[in-house]
Amino acid sequence: MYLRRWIAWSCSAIALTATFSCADDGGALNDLDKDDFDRQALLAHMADQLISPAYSQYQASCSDFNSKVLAFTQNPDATSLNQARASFQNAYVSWQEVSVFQFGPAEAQSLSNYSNVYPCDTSELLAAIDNPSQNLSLPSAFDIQGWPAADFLLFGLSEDVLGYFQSDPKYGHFLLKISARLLNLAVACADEWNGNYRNDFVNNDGYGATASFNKLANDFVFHFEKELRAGKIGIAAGVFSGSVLPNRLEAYYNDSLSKVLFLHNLAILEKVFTGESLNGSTSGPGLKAYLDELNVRREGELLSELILRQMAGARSLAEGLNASFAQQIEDDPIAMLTLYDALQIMIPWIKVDMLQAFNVNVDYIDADGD
Amino acid sequence: MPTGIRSKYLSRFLDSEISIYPLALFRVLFGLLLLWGMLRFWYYGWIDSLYIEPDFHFSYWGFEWVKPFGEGTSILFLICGISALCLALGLRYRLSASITFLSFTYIELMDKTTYLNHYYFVVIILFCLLFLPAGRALSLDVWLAPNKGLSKIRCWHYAPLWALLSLVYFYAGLAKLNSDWLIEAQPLRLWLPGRASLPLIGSWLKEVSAAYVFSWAGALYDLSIPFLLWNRRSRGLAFFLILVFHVLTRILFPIGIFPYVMIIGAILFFDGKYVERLLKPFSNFSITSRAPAPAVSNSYKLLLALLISWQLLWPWRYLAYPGELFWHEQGFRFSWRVMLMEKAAYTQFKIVIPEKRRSFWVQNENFLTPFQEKQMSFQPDFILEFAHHLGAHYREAFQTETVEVYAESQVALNGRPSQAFVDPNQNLLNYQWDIKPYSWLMPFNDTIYGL
Repeated sequence: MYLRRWIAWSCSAIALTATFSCADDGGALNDLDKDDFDRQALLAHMADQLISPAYSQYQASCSDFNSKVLAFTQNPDATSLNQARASFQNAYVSWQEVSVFQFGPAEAQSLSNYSNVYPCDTSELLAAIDNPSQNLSLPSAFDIQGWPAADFLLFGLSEDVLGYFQSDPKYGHFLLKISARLLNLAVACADEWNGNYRNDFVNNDGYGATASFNKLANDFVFHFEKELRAGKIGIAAGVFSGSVLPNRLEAYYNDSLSKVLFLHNLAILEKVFTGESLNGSTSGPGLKAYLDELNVRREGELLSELILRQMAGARSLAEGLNASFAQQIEDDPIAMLTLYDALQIMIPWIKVDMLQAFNVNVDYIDADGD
Repeated sequence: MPTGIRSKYLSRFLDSEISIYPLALFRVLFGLLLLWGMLRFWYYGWIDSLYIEPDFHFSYWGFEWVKPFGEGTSILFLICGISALCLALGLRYRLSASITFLSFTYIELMDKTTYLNHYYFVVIILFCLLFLPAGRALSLDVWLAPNKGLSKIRCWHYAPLWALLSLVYFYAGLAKLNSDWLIEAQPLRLWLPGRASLPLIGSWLKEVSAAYVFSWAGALYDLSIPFLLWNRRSRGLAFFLILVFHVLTRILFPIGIFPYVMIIGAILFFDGKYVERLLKPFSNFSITSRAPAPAVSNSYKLLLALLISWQLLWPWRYLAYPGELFWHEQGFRFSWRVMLMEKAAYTQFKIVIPEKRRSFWVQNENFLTPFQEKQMSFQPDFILEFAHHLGAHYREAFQTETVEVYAESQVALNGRPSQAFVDPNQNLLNYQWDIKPYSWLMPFNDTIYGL
């Protein structure tokens, strides 16, 4: 009778497995633990004090930029151009404060791909300006829109930007298309963060690959490594090519902006880490609090203290550089490399030690293990 | 002369007749499981993401010639799936077993990034099936030609599978007898809290006690299951434990078809009469044959002896290497070391071209998929192979013979702080990929005691 009993057991076991597997990863049922670090409190703090305010502010900046571009294109003169440029700078800075949070609505909208892929492909962009039916929602159009395209149109089109806009309305049409698209994407994300998504995010406080904390921590590391370290500094400084590539810098055409953008981006990463709110008025649990709760140390010292000190060191190195990273690279590329090294030191700390302590996996592929 | 008595007893046991039906039923379920495994690869898009999309593949030593072949690679999975189905149906048994074995083995050899112990186990089982009369019952072959049917075979035919299953469990248990697993409860201590979202047991999984319970129970389970299975009186308990254990591991970890492979493997230990009773509704396919159990050739016996000796000895090859096995991983694969390590790692490469006075760092994602990059970062043989690939790439790109490749690597093992892994001052191109100990690795600055 073994076998029949065995089959009965197998069937119930498989049914049980299926039940458990379906309940996987969602985290909806996880409200049971009290004594460990409260991931939900961290998520709520991040959502309410950092992410939602950043998206609201970004939306407002995009809205201002769009209206300044509209005014400029309707009446292109030196004043309206300067207003559009000032609004561009303000909005590009506020982009730095949402670019770290590319999960949820931003992921659904491919926000980062449509807003900030640089360098801009300027020859494609000029071709698109002559093609009224150009579809900007194609992946092939990532590098002819967003802030890098606006940067080129407002600062790099020629020595005489105003003359171009005055001579042919097609430039204005395209710039307006870009600013309207940036605004639409920003509205879509801000609405979600101020609406339903906020609660989804906070309540998804589990431990699986799709849980909010895993996404937050993964995006933090990914952004730090790829966007801040490589994108804003390393690539242009020649770390990955052996020769400097200043035209790969962010805001290459309005080149006095590159340092400001870097510093704002670093600041928001520091805030995710320390738990400081966007406007700095309050603070709550951030990644540091979690690491300290787990008592993660390197050679006796708290890992979080090492990271904080290194971030501050990188900040002061960056502050000492030329406002234009392009100019800095021309004058003294070694100083850029020194900043790169200061950022690089942190990569194993956050990617290996920190993520291991949080039990967060780096990759997203869901292949089997054994 | 105790050995003489024992070997006489053993050969009498191996010669004795035994029902073919547990083996035949195993063949049916095993074939279906492989078919399902192939369907999973297709359904999850893994054929594309693991074999077609990557530009570079990590090879097994000596099998560098086994590579995916572009879009056509899907056909290999199709062939393997169809032949596995034929194996299950018992249609042209020997042919379908051969094709399944060859295609499945080819798939496994294409890229070691996807190495899993249970795929290796499947390869060996398929190899054994080539020599077993598993298609002589419950098969279309017998339905089409009833005179080919058998109802009795010899214990010799079960011996390789019994031995393998027992060995897998027992060696997996031995591998757990180390201080990380037993004293620190690692890596389960890192992994279990990640499953805290599970209903019922979830909240307990966050406790350290859970990691200890699972570690110790897991080691005891692996070491005792073979004995519980061999003993007729404890076999029922063994089946029950196998079910509980594999269902639990399936719930806790993403381990694909492995739990089901082991569960159906248990069928091989069933008493034939239970299986025959179960199969009554399919009596069309289970024609009772009065044919005598087939004799076993000496070459089969020799092959069996070689297979089992190899399996007994091969996992111990790590003893020939100095240093910590979990660190250098020389002898880690193909040794039934499952779930023993959590390695978090970061590895990047520096290219130096002295004659052009140029040096720069490689962005791994230009060459590897995220999964390959992850696996490469902590496995030395991957690091060395990738370094040579980079060397060849940049020799061509810069039209020069003098390229140097250095690696900077940080690895955290089983919850320890990360430490330097590769010696950053060694040009990896000075080291050929061979079986010698890796002198270009930094020593592991801790000790793990035990086997």
